[in-house]
Amino acid sequence: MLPSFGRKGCTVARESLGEFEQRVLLAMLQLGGEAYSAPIVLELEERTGRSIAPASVYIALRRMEKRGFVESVLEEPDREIGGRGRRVFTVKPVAVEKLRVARRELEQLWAGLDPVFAR
Amino acid sequence: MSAGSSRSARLARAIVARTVWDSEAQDAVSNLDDIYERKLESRGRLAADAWYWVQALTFGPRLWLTPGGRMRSAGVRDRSALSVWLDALRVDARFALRGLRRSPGFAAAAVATLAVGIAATTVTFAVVEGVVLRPPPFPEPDRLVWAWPGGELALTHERYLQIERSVGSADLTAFATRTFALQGADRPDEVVGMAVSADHFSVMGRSPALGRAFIASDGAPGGETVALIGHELWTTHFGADPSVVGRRVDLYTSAAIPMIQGAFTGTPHTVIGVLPPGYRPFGFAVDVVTPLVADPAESSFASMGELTMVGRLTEGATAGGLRSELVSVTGREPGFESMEEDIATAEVVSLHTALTGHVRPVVLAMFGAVALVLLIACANVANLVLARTSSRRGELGVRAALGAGRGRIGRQLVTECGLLAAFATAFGVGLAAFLLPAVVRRLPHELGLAADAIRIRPSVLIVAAAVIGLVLLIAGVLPALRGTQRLAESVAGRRGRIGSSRGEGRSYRGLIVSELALALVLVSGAGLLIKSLSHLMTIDPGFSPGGVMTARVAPSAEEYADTELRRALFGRVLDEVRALPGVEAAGAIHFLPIADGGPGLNFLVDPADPESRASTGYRVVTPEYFDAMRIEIVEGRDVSGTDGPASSPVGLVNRALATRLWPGESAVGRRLYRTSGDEWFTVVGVTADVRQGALGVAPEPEAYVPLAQTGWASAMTIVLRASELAPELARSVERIIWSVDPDVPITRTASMEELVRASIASPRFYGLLFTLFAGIALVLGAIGVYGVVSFGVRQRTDEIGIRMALGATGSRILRREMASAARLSSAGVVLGLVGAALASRALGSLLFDVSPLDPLVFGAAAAVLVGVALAAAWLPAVRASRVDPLTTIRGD
Repeated sequence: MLPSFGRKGCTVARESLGEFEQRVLLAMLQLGGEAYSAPIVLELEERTGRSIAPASVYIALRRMEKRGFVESVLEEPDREIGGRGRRVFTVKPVAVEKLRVARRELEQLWAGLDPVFAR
Repeated sequence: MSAGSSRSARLARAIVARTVWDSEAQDAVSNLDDIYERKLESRGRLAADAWYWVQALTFGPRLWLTPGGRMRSAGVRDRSALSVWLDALRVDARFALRGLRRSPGFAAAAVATLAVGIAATTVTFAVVEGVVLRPPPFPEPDRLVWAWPGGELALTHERYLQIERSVGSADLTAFATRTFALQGADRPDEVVGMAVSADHFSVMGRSPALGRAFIASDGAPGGETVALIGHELWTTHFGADPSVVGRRVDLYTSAAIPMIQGAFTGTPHTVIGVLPPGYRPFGFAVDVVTPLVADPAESSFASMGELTMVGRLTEGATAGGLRSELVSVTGREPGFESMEEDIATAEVVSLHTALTGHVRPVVLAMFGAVALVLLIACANVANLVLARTSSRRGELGVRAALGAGRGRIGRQLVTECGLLAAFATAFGVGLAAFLLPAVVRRLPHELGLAADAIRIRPSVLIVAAAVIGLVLLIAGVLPALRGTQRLAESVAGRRGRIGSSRGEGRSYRGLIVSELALALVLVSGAGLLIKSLSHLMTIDPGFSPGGVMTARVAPSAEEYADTELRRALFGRVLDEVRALPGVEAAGAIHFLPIADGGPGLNFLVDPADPESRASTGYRVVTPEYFDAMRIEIVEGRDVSGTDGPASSPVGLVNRALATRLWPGESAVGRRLYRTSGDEWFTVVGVTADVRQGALGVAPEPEAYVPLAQTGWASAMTIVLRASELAPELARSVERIIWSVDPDVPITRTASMEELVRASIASPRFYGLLFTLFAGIALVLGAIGVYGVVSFGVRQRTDEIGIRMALGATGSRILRREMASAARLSSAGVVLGLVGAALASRALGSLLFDVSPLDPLVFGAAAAVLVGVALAAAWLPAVRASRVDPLTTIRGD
């Protein structure tokens, strides 16, 4: 007996990347395309100068994984240095392609607007 | 997490780990830890901890509330009943969160009130648990018993061995407190310890952390003097160096009780081991433990000794059994005749009771007070929730009319209350973790607790959260459900007009009256403690503490075994101190009033009647002591420099002793006999009475004898009066003492005012604590009254409007509302006075010179309560008097 509004969010956005998701992917690429979530949060904070809720990054990564934009493996914990298992995410080529499209679209929208923003 | 993380961060982390119910909790926590580390480096501890707490409160809930936030194994669509239920719960939780966000005032008030209640309860319970409830840290603590607590029955070594040989229902061990002079460290020091019989460790069930325990031959006369040292002393003085075991160190037994010969060993000790960390078997920290020395000289004391007996009951034995066995054993053995009566009445209690019994009433009073605060907080929140449910009747009615069953609406409300409780618990725990260290630092020393024993325990959290959950359920869910069906039927008619029922009004008022009554109990308790404290602070101790500096000097028994040497030491020190600039007078006394309590008892025999024995305390003083303390000499003269070993013995008595021995006559010229000193002395002066033991203890009869004419051979406190107590004065006195002998320990340097203040630190603490609790209770009570009156006014806006349209004036409405608030508060006062009268008895032991039923305090507390209640009712009452009749009528 589930009300339908509960999962609307998932289906609508299957095609394109949300703005925050784009940011997360870009941060991952800055880190070499492969990272676990803490460095992504720190990278985003450093590059945007804003504080980022780790939960948002966590959620974005999981959603993108479900939609096939990133993939992840649970690392074996390194017992010697007392480490614990972490999930490492990798950007998939399809996401890079999506980013490229998004950038092109944005650039076309920006084209010729320099005088407006120069003021 | 790294070693650098704080307790608060670790707690936050534990919350994350438990709220992320994913298989991925490990991953989440490791990543948060990494970010925390970075924040710690870049922004400091406070900001980093705060950041972690935000994560603790938001990370888990966000994952739960976001579709797709949780990790699912790919491709598996098997939805178990649990996952369906969890999804429904998530929907409810999102809905509830939205609802709470719509009324942030209500949510904040409820969460803050409950969080304060939880924090206060958690902190207090942590203290209660650490001080009273936790059994001493020994294996099978139930079997450890303390024979004859109370201290009247102290045994000699020989008597103890007699008993130990014959008793079968327990393995006995004995100890005596000792002080030790430690030399050769960066500064000479005096440390506390004890002498124990060789089987101490086997009876207690613990063993040294390093080295060996005592063996039977360790205490033998003429053998090597050995000692175990405490873990803390080992760390601070010996750099935690394991090689100290087997070494001879400059540790000497101080002459605590000069009469007991076995205490004088006069040689350095060989360390044979280190005690476990935090080892405090009998309620006090122990730095040095030596074996009891079996010295035949001790037997010269026929009845009194210094030993305390502790035992481990054998299988199946009871404390009562041991008690009767002790009575029968001592009845058979020779030498116990004079103690027979005392032994017959003395108890045997569990070690736990013996150590905590004296603080139990205090701690329980504290806990009782905080439980009242939690109750008030619950009543308040119940009120808030009731009011909210009532104002949501329209919404609930619509949902019911659209087909939501009781179960569905009930689940929604339960989720909402659960969320409130969860937030309140999280904040409450955070607050408690923040407050606990500060509270522990301020706890009075008399509680005798080890700070590490006080921790927040999950049990108390669970209890507090359960209480809150229950309150919220009763207040938030049941009344709403009761009304839904009726509402569903009537909702089609007039939505906004569904008023509160009579029964509901009664439950609000009932809650407020009980809240006010509970607050009155706390306010009057605080009043009693404050009055008692103010009595203590205005008491005249018989001396003038202002401008007096003191320094306690404890020469070691080894170097100063010769009393002449001791006298010379203090003589030289005092001469040089008197020469310091600004010093008006300087003397010394062996037991400083207030700080050192009373000396051992001595016997004074009235020369006129050799049969009459007057037991009294005596104090050893030097010339100028009375001047320095400004103790008045009401008759005769002070001791002087000419009262030496060669001249005839003299002494002074205080007025209490003079009146007791020679009522109506002059004491000067009378003679007294000191049994322990074996000499007569002539009274040359009478002093005013001084409160020696504590500010709250009336002066006892006392005598003063000059140091130059006694064999007293232990610590003395230098007392000096200066025109100005500059901070460097204490340093100068220390310099003088160490210039005379660099090895002599100075165990306390403090101004007399500091010592007097410290002596009332406990009453001050309890007063402060109760005032704090009473303050919280009053604020909560005021919020409650405000809420109920303004809710009543809102509910009856129509009624008030119609009344005004029919000619009632605003001031009349105001009077009516205030009168109803006054009725509420007087009902609270009546109930509260009854409660306070019953509860204040628990404070009896904390009160000085104040009756637990002090009418003035109770009257004032009632007045404060009524005042606060009326002030809280004023605003909504004024609002009622300004209702516009036209709006009401138009609205109909």
